[in-house]
Amino acid sequence: MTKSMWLAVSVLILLFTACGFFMVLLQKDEEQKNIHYFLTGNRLNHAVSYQDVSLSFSDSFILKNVAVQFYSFPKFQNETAKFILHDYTETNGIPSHLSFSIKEASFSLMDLARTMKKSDEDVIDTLASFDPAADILNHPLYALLLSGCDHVSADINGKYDYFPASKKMTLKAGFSDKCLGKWEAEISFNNISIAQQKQLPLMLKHFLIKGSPLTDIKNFLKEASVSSLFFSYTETGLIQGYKHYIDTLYLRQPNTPSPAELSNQNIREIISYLSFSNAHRQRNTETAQTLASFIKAPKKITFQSKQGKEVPLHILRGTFLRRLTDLLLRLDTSVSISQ
Amino acid sequence: MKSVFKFVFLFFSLTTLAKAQTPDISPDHEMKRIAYSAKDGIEVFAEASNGEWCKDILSLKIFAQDDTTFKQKPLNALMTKVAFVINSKCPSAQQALVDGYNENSLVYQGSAFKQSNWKTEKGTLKVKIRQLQTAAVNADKEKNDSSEKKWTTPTNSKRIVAYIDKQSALEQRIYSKNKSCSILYTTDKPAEKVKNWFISVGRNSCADNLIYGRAEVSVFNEKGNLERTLDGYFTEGRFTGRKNLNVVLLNRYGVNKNQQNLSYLIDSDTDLGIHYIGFLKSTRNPRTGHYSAWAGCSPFTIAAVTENEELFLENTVTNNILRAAESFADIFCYGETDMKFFATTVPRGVPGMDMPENSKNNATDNIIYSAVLKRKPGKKWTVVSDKTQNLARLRENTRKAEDLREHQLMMADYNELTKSDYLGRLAYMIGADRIDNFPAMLTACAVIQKPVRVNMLVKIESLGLDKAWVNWPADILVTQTSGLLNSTGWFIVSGKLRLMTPEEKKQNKVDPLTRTGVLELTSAANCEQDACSEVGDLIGLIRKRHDKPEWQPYHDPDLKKEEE
Repeated sequence: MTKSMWLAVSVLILLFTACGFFMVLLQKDEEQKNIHYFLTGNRLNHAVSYQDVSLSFSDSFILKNVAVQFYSFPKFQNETAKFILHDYTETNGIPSHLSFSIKEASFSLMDLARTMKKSDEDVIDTLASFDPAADILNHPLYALLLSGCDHVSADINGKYDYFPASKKMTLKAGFSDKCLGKWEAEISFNNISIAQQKQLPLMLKHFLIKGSPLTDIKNFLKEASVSSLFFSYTETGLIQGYKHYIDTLYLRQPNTPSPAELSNQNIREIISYLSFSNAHRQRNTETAQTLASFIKAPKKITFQSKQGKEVPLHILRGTFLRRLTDLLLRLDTSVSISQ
Repeated sequence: MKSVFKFVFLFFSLTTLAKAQTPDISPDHEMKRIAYSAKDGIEVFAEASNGEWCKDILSLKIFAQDDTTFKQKPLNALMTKVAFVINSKCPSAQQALVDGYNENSLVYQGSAFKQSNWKTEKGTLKVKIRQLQTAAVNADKEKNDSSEKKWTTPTNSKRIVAYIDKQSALEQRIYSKNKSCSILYTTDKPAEKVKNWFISVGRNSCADNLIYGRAEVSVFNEKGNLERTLDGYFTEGRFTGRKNLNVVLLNRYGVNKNQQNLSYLIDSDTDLGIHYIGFLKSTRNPRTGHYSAWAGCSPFTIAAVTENEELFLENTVTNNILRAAESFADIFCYGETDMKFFATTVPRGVPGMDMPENSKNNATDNIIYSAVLKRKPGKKWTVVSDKTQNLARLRENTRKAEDLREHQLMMADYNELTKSDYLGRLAYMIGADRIDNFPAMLTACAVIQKPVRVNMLVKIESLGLDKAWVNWPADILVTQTSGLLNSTGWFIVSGKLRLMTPEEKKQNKVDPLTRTGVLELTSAANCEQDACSEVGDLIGLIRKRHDKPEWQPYHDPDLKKEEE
């Protein structure tokens, strides 16, 4: 090649690079506008803030250094290093597929407890009279703090699929934190109408800007039925931390059994509790013993429903724990642990 | 330091001098709220008269939702705040009586003194003494502006119409001609005759148809002849000669024809439940048949009538009551040198008091204490003789009542403890409300970002200079241990728990990511056995707490088994 040809090629490369650079800038500007319109249009612009937006080569949409302000806890500090929207599809204008992941969602549970506290006396009284069994549901945040988990820095992923024609929806979520452990859940719903489906984003939106998504949850789950359920938890220290708290609460002496572990009497009580939902005594006994084994040496526990089962949610009655128990047993959920 | 002032300011910024009345306070006592804390559920009232609560000796009543407020430390902490109000609003106050109420019941009695920065001292004895001093101070004030004419009946005392014993009281009412005035005249003349007698009154106008105060009364018989002239003072129509007695008459009765009696209320001490009663006598002159003017001096006779016999078990209390009686002698019989004092359970019918010494009406069972006091003009009173009657019986009764009450308390403890868990028994052992859990209280410290007062069972692993290390239930640094901890082992410790600072973690080589605490020690109770397992012996626990090594519960199942 002659010198002039080299020069022409170099100029062309330079031009392409400049064009590419301007295209990225324009695209970024476009994405920022889209995000801005989306947040403003949904009145979320005061609730969500971010530092940077970008589009990866795989067409993933990335928000960096995201912070969310919750209506109920305006002083609650949190930060997310990356929010990645991997995929989003609409069918006839209805969201049919979405997958996302969150990297390093960080917040302090202690700060959250401080934000939520009513008074100093209330905190002291609640913690002084904390019931390690019943108060897990009444004061879950304190239960986490008593386990020794002060701070969360979690990776989260989520997936949403909706089939308008068959009214089926599948939600999948994963959560992983050094202290809180690794959680995975997947649930499939039947009989979710388009109108009900629209309650799901509303629920998230109202949680952020109004604080109470209860009505939306009820509307979303109205007439829905659960066709499949999967849940697993992998221990990283949460259960052990809580067991240590119970040991100190009941003055456990060295070389004595931990009072946190389920005794035969406790196992019988669990079997009895399960029997109110389903009289399958052998399965109930196995479930209770599996729970006891997990609490004794917590590693990984998995709940998996049986295929082909379907439970309408509106038939469930009682407290939250009773409804959950009913649901699991009606779905013929098996509980297993892995060491 | 700033936060302390802030707290004090918050506590008292809400303080108002609003009038407040509580259900169990006598309506005669006006109460002024001088401080309160809605947060702690505490209200502090001062007793007031005519809207003024500030005086030399204050009477404070503290109402608290939580009876632990009246434990020594919280109470002293409270009093340091109350002292701000007292020192600013009433700098002249020197002493205070402190009554503590929980759920509207009196649960604490004590006193506080300015010279000891208003720190409280528990005990009813001192309270009683102080109350008596209060009475003495009030009496002294009256004495100082003292003439008989200025003396009036005690404020707030309701007017009592004297009860007249018609069987023994030789008394007739004699009216003036126009029936506008009358006197109550002592005479043994027949009523048929006396009803035709009349009086003429000079230098007085009547009130309520009876003569009061200074008057000159001529008594005329049924024939219109002058029977007698009564020139002097009258009290409710009764002639008292040169003595102007403006008092509340109680009883009018006679012992026999020759001795007629009147009793009058001198004062009532509602706190101690004592009524001070004075006596007037009128004696018949056998030669003239006339009765003398009513007289209560030579000697001055005073009775302290009370149902609280136990007051006289304590010499200091008796002496203070005598001091009150002495001050009354100065008021009613100024310059008198003889006095007879009786402490009784009844207001009349006591030999030597209102009955002749050799009276057949033997009511000695009703005498608690009697004394004869004398003094030389201008000198102090001295007890020349005194008699304590029934005090041995009283002491025994008091002891039995105390024993019974203590036994009931111990039985209540026993019944309660049979239902309580190990931690409940540990809490009972040290007299605390609860034994705290370390992770829970450390979490509370972290959430509220303040130290938390705790009681914990711990095992001390090692001791240092004014500090110690706990290795159970967790690694905890204990500070301010001098004089409280001198050995390792199991203890129930009390104090303020706070989070360990990063500097302290560095100094003590603690992992910076570990959340741990520092206990600033205020008290420590040594366990006799590992983890204080001696609390398993319930009876021993109660015996130790009440210092009654011989105590047995009525229904002790363990003892039953042993017997079987």
